[in-house]
Amino acid sequence: MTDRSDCDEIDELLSGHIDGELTQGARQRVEIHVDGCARCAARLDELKAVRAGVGALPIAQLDRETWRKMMNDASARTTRGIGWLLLIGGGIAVLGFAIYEFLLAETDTPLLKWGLIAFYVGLGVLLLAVIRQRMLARKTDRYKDVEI
Amino acid sequence: MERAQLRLALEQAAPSGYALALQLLGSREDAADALQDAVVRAFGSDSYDPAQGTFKAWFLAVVRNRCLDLRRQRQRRPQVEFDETTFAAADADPETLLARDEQASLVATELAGLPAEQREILILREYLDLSYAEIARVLSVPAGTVMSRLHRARSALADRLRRRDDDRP
Repeated sequence: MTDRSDCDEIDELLSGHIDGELTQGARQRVEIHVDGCARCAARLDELKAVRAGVGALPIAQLDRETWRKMMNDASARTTRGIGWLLLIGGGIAVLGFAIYEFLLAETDTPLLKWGLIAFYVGLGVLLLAVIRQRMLARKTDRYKDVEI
Repeated sequence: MERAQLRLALEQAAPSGYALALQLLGSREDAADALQDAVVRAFGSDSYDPAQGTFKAWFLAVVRNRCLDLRRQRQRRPQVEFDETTFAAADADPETLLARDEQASLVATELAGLPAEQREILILREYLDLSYAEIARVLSVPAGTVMSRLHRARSALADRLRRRDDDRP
């Protein structure tokens, strides 16, 4: 006859025992207890049945074609990402240099210079406003995923 | 990791990632989205460090995080899907198939009724056969808590299955 408190202590170790994750000492303790305790032996069988039941579940598999597309797309997305990064980085560097040169350049016609600055800033603001509007529309477009 | 090595490692880890995503999200479309994002991340980042564990565990952690993000975004209750064709492909006589089918749907139904935390640890251990150390890495929990958490999940599923058996006429 085994003590109930022994069973409670052993109970959690049963999972570790099934998975082969116990130390040698703990494993022997479980084995000795289970040999002399029908209740814990039944409980061990029950937990093993859970493991076998979940392990045998027919979970849907990913088909080869979807996986192939996924890999190609991921590869293309990464390459595109690097391309965009280089393009934007280079563009910012060139633009920054051009603005710097433009601002420092000596000129006899400051009105023309400030007029050009206002023109380009205005163009930039308009461009940003259009991009923002397009992004907002994209978020709320219910038909964006519809293929034609 | 070199690109060819990475492709091979991804090829091996992808089915596990998909199975986990399917359990966490409940729809094939969402699971494929999560997997796709994780693959892009694997190609684009260098955060996998072999010193911290297997590639599979790292990849599953990425998939899981993506699933949690998607679940938060979509706020959808997961429903477990079954692929009937996997039964048809099994090599067994019709009676065994029928019995296995019944048992599998019973287990799947009761598994789906568990909290997500218990469901995912059961899939990681029982279905994907991860070690405790790998599970700890995927779930970002201390290795010492894996056994107790897994045991609670197994006990919960065993209780549910026992209750179903008791309810049978």
